[in-house]
This record gives sequence, structure tokens and C-alpha cells, in this order.
Amino acid sequence: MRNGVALVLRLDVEVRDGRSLTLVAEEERAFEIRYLPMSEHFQLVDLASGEVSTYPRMRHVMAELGNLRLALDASPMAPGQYELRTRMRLDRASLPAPMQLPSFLSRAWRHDSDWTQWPFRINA
Amino acid sequence: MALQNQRLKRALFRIFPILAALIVLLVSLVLVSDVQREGAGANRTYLWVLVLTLLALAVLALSIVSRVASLVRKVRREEPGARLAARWVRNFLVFSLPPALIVYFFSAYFLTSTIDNWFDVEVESALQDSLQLGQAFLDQRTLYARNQSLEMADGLPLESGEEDVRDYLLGLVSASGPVELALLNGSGSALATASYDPLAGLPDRPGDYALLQGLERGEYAAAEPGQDGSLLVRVLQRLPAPAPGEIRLLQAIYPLPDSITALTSSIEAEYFRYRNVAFLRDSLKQSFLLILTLVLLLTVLLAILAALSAARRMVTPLSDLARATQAVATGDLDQVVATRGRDEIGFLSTSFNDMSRALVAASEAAEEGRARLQAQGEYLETVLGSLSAGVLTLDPAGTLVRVNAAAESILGLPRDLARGHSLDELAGTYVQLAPLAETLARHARRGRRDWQEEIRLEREGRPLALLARGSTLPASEYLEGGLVVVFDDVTVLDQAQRDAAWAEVARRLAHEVKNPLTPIRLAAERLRMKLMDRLAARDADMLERSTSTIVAQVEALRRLVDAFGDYAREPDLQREPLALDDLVREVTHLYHPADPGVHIELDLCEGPSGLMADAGQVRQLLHNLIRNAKEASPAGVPAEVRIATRVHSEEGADWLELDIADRGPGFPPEVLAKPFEPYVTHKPGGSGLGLAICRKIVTDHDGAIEISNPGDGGALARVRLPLSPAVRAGEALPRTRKA
Repeated sequence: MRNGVALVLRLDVEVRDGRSLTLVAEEERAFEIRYLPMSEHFQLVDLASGEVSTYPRMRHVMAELGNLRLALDASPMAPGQYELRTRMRLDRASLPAPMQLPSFLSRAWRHDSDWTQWPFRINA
Repeated sequence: MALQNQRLKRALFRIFPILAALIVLLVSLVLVSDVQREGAGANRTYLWVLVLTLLALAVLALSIVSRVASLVRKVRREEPGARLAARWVRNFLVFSLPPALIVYFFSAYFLTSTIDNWFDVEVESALQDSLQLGQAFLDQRTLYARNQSLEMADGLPLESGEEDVRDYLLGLVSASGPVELALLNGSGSALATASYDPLAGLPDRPGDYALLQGLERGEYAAAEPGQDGSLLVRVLQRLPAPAPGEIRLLQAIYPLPDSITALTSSIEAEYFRYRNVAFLRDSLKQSFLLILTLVLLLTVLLAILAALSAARRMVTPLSDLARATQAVATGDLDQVVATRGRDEIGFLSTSFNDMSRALVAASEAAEEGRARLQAQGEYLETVLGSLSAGVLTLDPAGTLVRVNAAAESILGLPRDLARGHSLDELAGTYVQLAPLAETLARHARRGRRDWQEEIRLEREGRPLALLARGSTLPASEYLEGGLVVVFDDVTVLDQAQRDAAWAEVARRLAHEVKNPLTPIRLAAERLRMKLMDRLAARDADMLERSTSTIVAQVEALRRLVDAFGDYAREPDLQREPLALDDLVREVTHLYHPADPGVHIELDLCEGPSGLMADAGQVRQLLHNLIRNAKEASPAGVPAEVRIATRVHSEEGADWLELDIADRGPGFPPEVLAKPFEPYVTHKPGGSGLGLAICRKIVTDHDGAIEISNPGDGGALARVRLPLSPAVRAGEALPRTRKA
């Protein structure tokens, strides 16, 4: 990042039926993190809304990403048991072209998290 | 249909690698353009494109490997044209690969060095300096703001009300800064705010980090990027607590001039761009090298493919020609090769086709000639085989070249054995050939070109008379000469002449001798009658003996003449269906009771039907043969005669076989040598006509008679008479002659 490469992180959110595990709803959020050398700050850009926030340390960016608010529209869902799954992954395809081949071949560039699941229930 | 499919497959097999190569080329170009854009935009298809490229290369390589393997197999099998194709490919590669490799390595070196040259150390340090300059400016500005805010904090009337504080703050804000002043509590919420811009909304809340710094260290001052990308300096000063537990902070916001903001943004952007590119330098080089390698691989593989295709295209007509030539060499003349183009190879193919057509025509003509010759040979063979005369041809060395079936039959040689041997060699095994070999040698010694001679041989104890004619064959370019001998078996002719002569003698004898016999006998009897009474007893006795002798001899002569008459008589057969078993019993019955000197044993088959014969003649035949057997037995010993009949099939016809055998001493050799010759007899007083008459009767009935001495002693006469199939099938035998 200190060499001017912006990283794009993608957050996949899925809601699946608790029994059949069929996909009920899904959402993808993308964030770009870039470094500003002049002020030595990090910027987190929500690519969907274009909202920019600035942080003096990377850990603040991470903390912000770990504290996201997700709003899912539950109205089309019938009452029952559901499962919310999320994961975060580094979008290697958005890296600069010369880096794409090494990023695809090198294990060091694989920073995809596993799916994290939260079961929840919608009551009638 | 299957052929079309095969052609389609072959066409696809050829086109597929080329398509793959084109894909590789296209992809390489796409990659090149991507790299030149230096990571502008995300390209999700990058990996797939790469995989596709590698797949295409693999297909290309596989296609080449399979073609090379096929070529190697062809070379090992020594197929026509394979070595030429291999040499072609080798030369092509030898000439095309080094330049490609040189270009590749030069390009790789040029690329890496060019990319390295893009990154000038001075440029980098200048950019670094600019950035540091900007940061130093920001630092100075921040320090200024901090100092100013410290002063403002000191003068803040904390003990007064919020209105006083706001008034105080409003008095401090200005266009050059601070543009915004705010009194904050410990959680960062504004208690009092003063802004230079009267339309500004809520004060800009400090970040968590800034707030923490302000609380813990007592102050915070730093340049921060704003929402719109512009830079501002934020200062937080912790103020003395107005009451225990209460925290107060003063926040001052100083904007940077627009010109400075634009400059810092520009420096930042340029610095980033440069760092970015510098950071990606190795990746860029790797990508360029990858593309270059792909292009090199493409070039090399295409070169190999082109070499293989060109070799195939070049060599196919030649290998066709070679294959066709081999086929012609092995005798398959009907070969046509496809003519392609108007070059030398096309000319060669056309010439080959012309030659092939000419060869086929010549071959057909030769075949026709050979067939004609063969037909003539077969015709000659058939003619020779059909001849009743024996034909031998010998080469100049005396070896038999051709022996026809009649010759083999007459000379008693096994079939197809004589050819390739000389007569002298054969005479060692087949002694009957010795006189023939000797005759031929004699004429060869005399040097006579044509000769004719009657040659007498002996075959299986029987005389054989050959009338042979020899001619020397002329030698020519195609014929080596030699000798042809044609001979006829004149034994039968000879026999017939003798028989005719004997018949004539017999007829004359009968005619000339028989007539005076009666007067002689009458005269002798009259002499005895007239003189007997007048002569003395002694003379009368002599007269009686003399006249008795005359009468007896005349009677003997008469019997002889009668026998000759029988022999000479023209055949006048009264043929009718005859049951031989009945006839034999009837004849033997005459001997049985009357003659103690004969013991006859019968072994007769019934009938047989189908025998058409003159009963009187057959009776005479039986009498003659039984008498012969009886006379052959020694005096005082009863003759043991065995008579047997049986039906015998031979050569599709039925024969009645009648055997009359005795236990006597057998036929003497002179009789066996000339068995049926009249006047050949071993019995004193025999006329020598018995067997001759027998043979005459048998031959008059279209039969055959032979005599022999069987191995277990005695003599055997075997008569064979033909049985008529029509009569055998239908008629019943008259049984009138039963004794």
C-alpha cells in the first residue's frame, strides 16, 4: 500500500435457509483501502456509496471494517430458521495487471476468510 | 459418408492447431495491451485468458508431438519419403530456431533494461524531496496552528458561561484560520462552536485517534485529508477541568490554501504513480517476459508446425511416387499418382503415370502372349495326351523333356516320373527300356537325322513290339534341339497279322488236306477188304496193321484239320442270355461220373445276369480249358480242377470273371511267352490250337483271356466276359439247360 497500490476488499453476505441451505438473499459490499503519503493517513472508501473515511493507522481501518453495519431487508423472508454467512476476501482481479499473475500464483496473496455463520430465526 | 467424416476429421486435425495458435496470438496481444495500461482497471478474465493460452499452447505442442511421433514411426518403418520429411523438418528448424532465439534473448534483455531505465534514481529522489517538502510545509503549518491554538486555549474564559465562550471563539475565527473553533467534552461532542462560515453545519467531529491523543497527551495536531480530498490541520488542546470529572477540549480547524492543496495532491499523485510503477517493475518485467516467452513459444511451435506441414506437402508427392515405384517393382504395374502443380515434381508424376500406363500396356501384351503360348502348350499337351502313339522328346544331352501318357502306358512307366531323366538311367530300374535306349544310342552314334525301326522289348515277361520313328529337332534361338521319338505299340497288330496268317494257313490246310483224307481212308479200307482174303496170314497181318495205321493217321489228320477249321472259322455267334453257372454245371457233369481222372470243384456265383453269349462256343471254351487242365496233370494222378465265377466291376463296367485252375505243373515258359500262338504246345501230340481257339472264342465275345502260373502252384486261366447292363437290369435268365 505504501507503494501506491490500492487494495479492494469484498464482503460477501448470504442468507440461506436453515434446513435446505438454499440461497435466500445475498449482498456484496466492496471497500477500497488506500494510503495517502502526504498526510500519512489511510482512506477507506465504500465503493457502493462512495463514502470516504480517513484513519491515521491501518488498525483503525481494520477496526472500522470489523464494525460494519449491515441492513438486510427481511420482509420477503417467511418466518423460520435462517443462517447468515459472511466472508471477506481480497479482490486480486482489481490489482494492477502486472501483479495479477503473481497474485494468482502466490499463496501470500490469498487472504480470503472462511465463511462465518450466524443462525437466526424470523418469528411469525 | 465414412470417407467424408474421415476427411472432415483430418481437416479439423490440421486446422485445430492453427486455430489454437491464433488464439495464443490474440491473447498475447490482449495481455500486451493490458500490461501497457499498467493495471488500469480490474480484469477478472485474466486468469482464464492465461489458462486458455496455456491450453492452446498445450494443444499446439500436442499436435506437434503427435506429428513428430508419427514421422519418427514412419522413419523407423522406412516408409517412402519419411527420411526426406525428417531432414526437411530438421533443416527448417536449424535455420529458423536460432534467429528466433536470438531475437527472444535480445528482446528480453532490451525490455528489462528499458524498464529499468524508466526508473531514474534522480527522479525518484526529486519526488521524494517534493513529498518531504510538502510534509515539512504541513508540519510547519501544523506547528503554527498548534501554537496559535495554545494561546487561544490560555485566553478561553472557561469559568464564564457558554455564550461568553462562543463570543470569545467567534472573535478568533478568520478566513486564514482557524476557520472553525469548538469547545468539546470528553466524548468529542461540541459544547460551543464558532465557525468562520456562517452556513457551516455541525462542527467536524475529531476522529477517535485524535480524541484519544488529545485526552491522553493533552494536545493533538496533525494535517488530515478531508472528505473532499482537501487537506486541513486539526488541533486539539486539553483545557483545565472546570469541575472535577469534567473534560474540556478546544478544537481548531485550519484549512490549507487551495493552491497548496492542489500542489500537494499533485505531488502525492505523481509520487504514488511513480512508486506504484517502481513497485510493479519486477511484476511488469515478469509479465513482459511471459508475453515474450509466449510469443517465442508461438513462433517456435508455429515454425515446427509449418515445417511439418511444408514437409508433408513437399514429400507427399515424392512418397506417393516412391510407394508407386515400389509397387511397380513388386509387379503391381497399375499405379497412378496424383499430379500436383506444374513444377518438376508434377512433371515427374506425369512422366511416372505415362510410364506406368506404358508398362501396363506392355505387361498386358506380354500376358496375352504368354496366355497364347500357354494355350498352345496346353493344346500341344492335349494333342500329345490324346495320341495313341507314344511320344518322347529328349534334349541334346539325352535327358527326357516330354513323355506323353501313351508313352508311359506303352513302356509301363509311372506317371510323370520319366521327365528329367535319361533313358539309360531309367533302364537301370525299368529294364524293358534297355532295347529302346540302345536303339536311340545306336542311331545317335551313326548321326542319322531320321530313322524308323521296329524295336522288340519285353515287358513283364510279355513281348512288346514298337514301331519307332526318330527325328532330330533343329536347334534355334529358342529351341535347343534334341530328338523326338514317336512309337506305336504294334504288338497287337503283330498278333493280328499272325492270327490272320494262321487262320489262312488253317483254312488252306482244312481245304487242301481235308479233301484227300476221305479217299485215302476209303482206298486203304478197300485195299484191306480186297486183298485180305488173298494174302497169306503173315502178309494179311501186315496189311491189316498198315491199313489200320493209315486209317488211324488219317483220322488223326482229320481231327487236326477239324481243329484248324475251328480256329479259322469266321465268327458266327448266336448270342443269347446265358446263365454261366448252369452251363458250367452241365459241362462238368459230363466229366464227373464218367471220368475218374478228373476231380472238379465248383465255386460259382449265381448267374450272372447280363451275359450275352453263344452257348455252344462257351461250352467249347469250357471243354478246352478243362481238358487242358486234365491233360496237364501227371499220369495216374486225378486232375484237381477248380472252376470259379464272380462278377467284377472295373472302369464303370461289370465283367464276369471265370477262373479255371489246376494243381498241375503249370504252363511252361515258352507257352507263357507266346500263350495263344497256334502250334505252341508242350504236350506231345497236341495240336497247339486249344488255347488259340479259346482266345478266339473269348475275343469274339469281346472278352479277354490270360494265363498265368499263380504263386501257390498249378496253372490258372482267367476269362473275362462283359456283362450288358441293360440286360442285367431287366431280363430274367432262361433256366432251360439245367442238367
